[in-house]
Amino acid sequence: MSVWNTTDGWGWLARLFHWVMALMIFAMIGFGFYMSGLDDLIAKFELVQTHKSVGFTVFVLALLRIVWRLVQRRTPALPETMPRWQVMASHVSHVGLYALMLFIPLTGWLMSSASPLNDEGAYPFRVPNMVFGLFEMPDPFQSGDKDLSALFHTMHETGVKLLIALLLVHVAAALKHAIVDRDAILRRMVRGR
Amino acid sequence: MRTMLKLLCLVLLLPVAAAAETWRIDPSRTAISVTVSYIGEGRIAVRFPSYEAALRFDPDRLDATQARITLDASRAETGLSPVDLIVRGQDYLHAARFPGIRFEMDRLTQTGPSDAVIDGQVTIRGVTQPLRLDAKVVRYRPDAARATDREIAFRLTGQVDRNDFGMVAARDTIAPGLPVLIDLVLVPK
Ligand code: HEM
Ligand code: HEM
Repeated sequence: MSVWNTTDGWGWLARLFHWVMALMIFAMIGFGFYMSGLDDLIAKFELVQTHKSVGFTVFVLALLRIVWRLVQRRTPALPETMPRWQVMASHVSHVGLYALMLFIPLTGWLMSSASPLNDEGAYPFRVPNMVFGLFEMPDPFQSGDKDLSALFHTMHETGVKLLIALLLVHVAAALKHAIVDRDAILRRMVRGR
Repeated sequence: MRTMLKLLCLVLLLPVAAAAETWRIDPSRTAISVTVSYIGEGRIAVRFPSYEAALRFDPDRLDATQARITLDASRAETGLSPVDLIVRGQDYLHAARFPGIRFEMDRLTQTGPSDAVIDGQVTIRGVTQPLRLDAKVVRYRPDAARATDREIAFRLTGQVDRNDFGMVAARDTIAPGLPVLIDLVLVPK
């Protein structure tokens, strides 16, 4: 079991990144909608703080994952029988997924730090963007702006919707490869080859 | 025959014994809270776990019920300590100056088999206003579920307007009406 990717399979680190992050991201989408609809503001506050911490972790993992992807010369090749448009679609959607894995946490962080609630001396109290209570995320907006925060919120939400759409295609494509084409695409992301 | 007589005496005496029984609040199952509504956002429940109550209650003479309760404003809690500080602070309960929230009952009027209204006076931040609570009996034991325990559970609901008590901060974000919810469980002393 190699840590490195080969031309016909994913190394264990790439697979670990893929599945751990897939779980985290599904959970974040589900919990995100759940918490934002909560009426009990105390429960919501606690969940939003956890959401920020997990989201920050996803962001850091995404960076590491992209670095790991780029430092390797080899990646598994797509079957030669695949139509060109599908090859293109696969590349474009994967780039899109990577981009959203960065865009969504980034806009979440910008939304939170642009909020006046994050300012020094905020009323009724200041909400810091903590990561699991360990340290605070940097704050690019010393004095917050409600409208700006709302704009980032819209971007965050739009990013999530785009991600859901892409993931539907992504998962459907993976299943089609496994069930209809009966090729190695899904297997090599699960078992490596 | 003698045993029969004894039994009869016992049965006749029972109601007397029950009437002499006095009731107290079971603090482990009693919950007092008000709900604060942030307009368009959601709500925060403020709970009052600490209070002192004086009660005279007889299920057979409801109209003779007497009750007085004082909530410890400095122990008001929401589940989040920075919010607790605001609730207890001078914009709201101002617990440092007005440590007690008092409710003094004037009368109880039965309105149905398990419903009543309670009229009284509530004092918050030193301001006294009339307050009416709707009371509903939600459990009366012994019942089919539990034949041995004696307990009576009430749900009391009402509403205070924070403006009436000088709590006027954050008018455009926090609704004026504060629904009161008291789940009261009484057990024999
Ligand atoms: C993988 C990363 C993330 C995903 C999948 C995600 C997903 C979501 C979803 C589905 C919602 C609910 C929809 C909405 O109200 O817009 C949401 C809301 C939110 N997210 Fe994220 N999020 C992520 C990262 C972050 C990060 C890193 C932060 C902050 C540092 C953040 C802060 C927020 C905030 C403040 C809300 C709004 C809660 C509300 O007031 O309704 N998110 N997110
Ligand atoms: C049940 C859910 C999922 C299934 C079945 C699945 C399946 C797969 C499979 C089979 C591949 C390999 C494609 C190949 O070998 O060329 C793959 C790649 C990929 N997956 Fe998923 N995936 C899932 C969820 C996710 C999620 C939630 C994300 C992130 C948002 C994600 C992001 C990616 C990316 C970026 C690649 C491209 C890897 C690369 O070429 O660098 N996947 N996925």
